[in-house]
Amino acid sequence: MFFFFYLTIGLIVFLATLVFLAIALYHLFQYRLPNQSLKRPIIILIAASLVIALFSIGLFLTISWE
Amino acid sequence: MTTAFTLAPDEKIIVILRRHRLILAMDLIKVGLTALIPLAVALILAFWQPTLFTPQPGAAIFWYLVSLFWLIVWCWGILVWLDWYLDLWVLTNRRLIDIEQEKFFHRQVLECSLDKVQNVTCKINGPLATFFKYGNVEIKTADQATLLVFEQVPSPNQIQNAILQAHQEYLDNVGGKNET
Repeated sequence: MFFFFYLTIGLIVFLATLVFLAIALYHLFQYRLPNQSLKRPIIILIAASLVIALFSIGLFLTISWE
Repeated sequence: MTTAFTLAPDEKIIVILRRHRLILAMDLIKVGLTALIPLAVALILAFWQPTLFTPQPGAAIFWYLVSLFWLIVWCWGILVWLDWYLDLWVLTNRRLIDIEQEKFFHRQVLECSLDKVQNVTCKINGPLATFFKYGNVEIKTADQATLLVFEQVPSPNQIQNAILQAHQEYLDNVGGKNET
């Protein structure tokens, strides 16, 4: 019961984050400046999001549900 | 691929401005402090529940929820940065462009040809603005219909001069073309 409850919360937050990041990246590409590279902000954005998400998944996997 | 604005073939960007970095820093400090709330809660709880920092199931669930909270706060941080990053003021040798992005789904782009510039005012209000040298530059146009405001931009005096100089050069070029 608790397992599904916390799993659902996690999935909702992940899904919302994914949608949010997609919109953020869309805005970065759509409204970029002429002759400007967006590599650095995009790498930081995706890398930091992945680190936090993997940290969450790692913690979720360590929980003993029995 | 589209861009925030397109330049005419003979158009050159003189300066691209965003709000002063201090404004971004102050907003990000709020985000950072919010991210620290769970740690403060954990420290307070640790007095009653010392097992919070040990590998117990309850502690793991707490930290799992904290990590989800940090993910949300991180998204808030991105939103703050994006709001700062996408607010732009551009001075070219032909026009002024004012791009205001409010959150994700409200965007306003104002353009004004340099020949319509009538009055450029520089305003520096408050001790922080004075110390860190940022302020507003207000541009009134000839038709009085538009008021462009470059908000909280660094070195507003220099920007004011750059606009006036670009305006004069634009008028000289137009005048020169008309005479020939």
